Amino acid sequence: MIRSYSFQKTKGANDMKGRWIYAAAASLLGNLTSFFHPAIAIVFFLLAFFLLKRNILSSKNAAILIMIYLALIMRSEFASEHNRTSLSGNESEFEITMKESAKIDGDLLTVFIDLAEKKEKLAARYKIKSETEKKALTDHLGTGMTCRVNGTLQTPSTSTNPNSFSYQEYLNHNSIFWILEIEQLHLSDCSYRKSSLVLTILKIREMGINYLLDHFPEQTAPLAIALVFGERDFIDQTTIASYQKIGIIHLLAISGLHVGMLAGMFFLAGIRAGITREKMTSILLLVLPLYAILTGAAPSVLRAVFMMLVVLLAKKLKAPIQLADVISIVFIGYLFISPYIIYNAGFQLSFAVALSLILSAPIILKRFSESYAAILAVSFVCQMAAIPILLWHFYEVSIISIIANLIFVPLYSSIILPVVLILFIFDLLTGGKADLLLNVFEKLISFLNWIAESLSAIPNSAIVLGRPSLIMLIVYLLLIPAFFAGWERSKNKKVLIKSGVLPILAILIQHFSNVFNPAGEITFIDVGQGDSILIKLPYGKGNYLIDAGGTLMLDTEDWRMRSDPYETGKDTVVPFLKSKGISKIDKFFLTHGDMDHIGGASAVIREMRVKSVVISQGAEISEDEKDLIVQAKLKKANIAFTKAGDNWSIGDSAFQVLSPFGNRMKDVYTGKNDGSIVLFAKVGGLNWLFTGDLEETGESQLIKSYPNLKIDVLKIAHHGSKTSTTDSFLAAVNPRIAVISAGRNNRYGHPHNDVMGRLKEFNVHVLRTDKQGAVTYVFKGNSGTFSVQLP
Amino acid sequence: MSAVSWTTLWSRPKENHLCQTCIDKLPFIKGDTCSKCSRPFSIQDPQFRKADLCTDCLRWNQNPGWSGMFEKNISIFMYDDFMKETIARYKFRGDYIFAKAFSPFIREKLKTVEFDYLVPIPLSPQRLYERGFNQSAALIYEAGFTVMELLQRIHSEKQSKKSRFDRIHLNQVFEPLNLNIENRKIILIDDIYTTGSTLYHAAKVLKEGGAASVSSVTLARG
Repeated sequence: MIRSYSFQKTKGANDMKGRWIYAAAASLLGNLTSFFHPAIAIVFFLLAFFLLKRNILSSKNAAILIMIYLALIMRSEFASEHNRTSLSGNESEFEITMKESAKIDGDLLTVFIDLAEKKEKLAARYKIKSETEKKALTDHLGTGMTCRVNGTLQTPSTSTNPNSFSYQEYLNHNSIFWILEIEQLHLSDCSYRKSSLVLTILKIREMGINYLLDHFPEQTAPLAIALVFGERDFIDQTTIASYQKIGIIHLLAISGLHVGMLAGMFFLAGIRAGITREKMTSILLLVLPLYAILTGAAPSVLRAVFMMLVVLLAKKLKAPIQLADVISIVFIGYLFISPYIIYNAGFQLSFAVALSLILSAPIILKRFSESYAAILAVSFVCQMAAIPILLWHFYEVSIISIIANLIFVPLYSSIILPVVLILFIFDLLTGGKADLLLNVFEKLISFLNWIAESLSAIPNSAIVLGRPSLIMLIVYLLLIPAFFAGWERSKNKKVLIKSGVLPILAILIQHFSNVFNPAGEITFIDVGQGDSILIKLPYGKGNYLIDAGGTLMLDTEDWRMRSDPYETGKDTVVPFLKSKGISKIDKFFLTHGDMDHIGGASAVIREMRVKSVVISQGAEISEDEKDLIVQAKLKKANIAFTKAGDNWSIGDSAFQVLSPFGNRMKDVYTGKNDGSIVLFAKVGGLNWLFTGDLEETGESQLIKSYPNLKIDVLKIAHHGSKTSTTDSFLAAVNPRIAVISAGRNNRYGHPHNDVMGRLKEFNVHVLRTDKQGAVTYVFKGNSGTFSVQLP
Repeated sequence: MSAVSWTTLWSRPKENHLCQTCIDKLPFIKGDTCSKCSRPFSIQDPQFRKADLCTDCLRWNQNPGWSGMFEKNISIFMYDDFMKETIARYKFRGDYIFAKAFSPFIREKLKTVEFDYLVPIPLSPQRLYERGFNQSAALIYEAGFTVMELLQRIHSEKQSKKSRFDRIHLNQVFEPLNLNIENRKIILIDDIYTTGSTLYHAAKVLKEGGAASVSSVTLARG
């Protein structure tokens, strides 16, 4: 006789404890299935099958997983279905409510607004007309004000270059579809008509920011605003840029550390005041959401606040919960409420980094007993986790960031942040008696900013890898967790080093897939009115850049000056090159000295390793060109003067300079334009002619000197000006395709109708950057295809 | 449940009912032990050691009535104050959760040995009624194995109320339940191995019933 015991099962089969992370993965995959590609469904079912098979999830858990997955698909589908405007675009009168403090930069006012009747958000812009008006608006236009305005609705600009930022997409993901160009904005038409709890809190925020601006010293105030109210806009652009470059920008965002510290201080203060712990917990549960609104509700703040809320709630209910479950639950909730947040870089970084720290905490981080080693480990974990996201958005990983974090993280978390909070509270309580302390503190802040700027000035401190392809992303997403798992398992240094190879391997794979890419490309970058052309040869044999676009800087009154005006080189050309994984330019041709060709060159020379700057020989050199030559020499670039006859070939590609003719025919040239470098190239099975701003005289000179010149693709000279691209020139070189690089609705009327007529006459197929965005020719060997950015 | 980390993401989560503080207190038997009863030599006076056996086991071996009846005992922990307190809470005060807490260790040990049946040391019906569960059977069950009841008590007074002499020299306390154990390898499971008397008596019954070998796995070595 066998007696067998049956013991009561103590754990519920559908217990999700410690399993929410898989539910979070399911919610992410649901979101991606809807937004990215239906094939993600396969990934989800493989995952669910794997988890079930390996007994990681019970079948009831798996059912929950599938339900969450389907819920997120439906939610995301619903969101995209309803993410559309209710306006026709023809409206001209609006009643608008300011959702935030208006940003005033130079003569431009921008603000997000709510439309009164339509319940729709808009981005509004207003060009301020006078200095007195600027002053009035700065002083009196407040959050929550409702105004009657006239204006027109415009569709936001979309991205016209590969990988570039699309303002339209960005706004659409925030349910904004129009930019309201305000024509008339009178403060007399504005009043505080609406009230709500949120508006009241935002009003307090605005008052707090103004208080800090008034009472705190020059460098401390913007930092304090960022750390207390989560508003980074007041910090100097160079400081922001240097923080970004050395990888410590996260310190300027409100994160879990802030929320924890503040909540802790608040909690202790309450207990000191004689309130019970239980009551304080309840009060925190109420106050924390308000704090999230007070700080502008950035994704990192919302994550931290809601994680803390879940922890406090669990404590209240006496249901122990682990952090991995907390972050997963917050993630699922966040994604369910606003599916489009998935596109937000701050959201991605905040969750990726926090999750990595949570997963590293039980074993990896426990091994570091010395506080300094622990900080180093934490900072290292954060950076590993951030790599794929940073590469996607910024195309590079900073090497110096490990050291920078080592300096800045302890300083910020143990000194700057607590001191800022305490000084702010102290100053408020004493009515501005913190001056002495603030002045000492100001010295420290300027010293830190100086260190940041010095570190960011170190050359080659970042590895430019470009935006990862889908396959590359998958490689990162597999190898980085594998590295952490290896680190966790490693009992000694040898094993650790073995797994440490994995992330380096991922970076090397991406690097070499750039270098050994068998495909080359020629891209006419859309730089508005101007030229900038990239020639990227296959197998990393060379990157040539012909001009770098540029905007004319008009002299304006001081009050109209923007703090960080758009600059073609810095804002378009360099990001484009980096997104392609390019950090080195072998030859940088400056065809001639006009601003729309060399205006962006300074940024290129600054941010890229330029081996050689090629300048037209014999042409007169402008002041701007002289400055560039000095700058290039400082960066150890070679300065080469080129003239007709210079030629070279690499692999299957051959290049020849056809013009200028140099000193020999000096007197021929009448202007800069005709002194342009003209480059002939045999690349990707086609013959190309890059003509700079060559005009009629130069063109006729060219066909006289090279009577047998026949080409396939012609870069139309001088953006399609009627003084270039003559009948005789077209007849002589006989192009099949013409590319025109010109600005949208440019003031010169380029390309000219005459030119378009001539091209039609000669049956030339025309591609235009002003209509089609960037024009790209991608080739392998002798064949390739053209594509344009805009359909 | 232990906190989720990188390595536990892709494997079946280990149930963990002990916190890190208690895990650190667990007195794992380490170093040289008696090859027969797992008694650690490190905390023993060297005079009680004969080659790789302890003198207790030598005595059992030399007794013709007991020699060859019992293969060996494997214990996991030393019976220090922490274990005394823990085991007392487990079996006398009925804190069943300890069966789950100890199950991973039992499972690990059982992976290293071969056996056909896992047999708990039985309780008398009265004792079972008092405690609500058999602490040995619970260990087997929670480790995920099948409990084989092959023995029952004849009569009983609590073992812990008896002297060493009584324990060793008392008459058989177990009787076999009818069942075919011919040539089976059997492992007895109990919470503590103190003098070995319980296990030797149980082993003898099974051995006489035809078992090929009888050994034991116990939580602690007293």
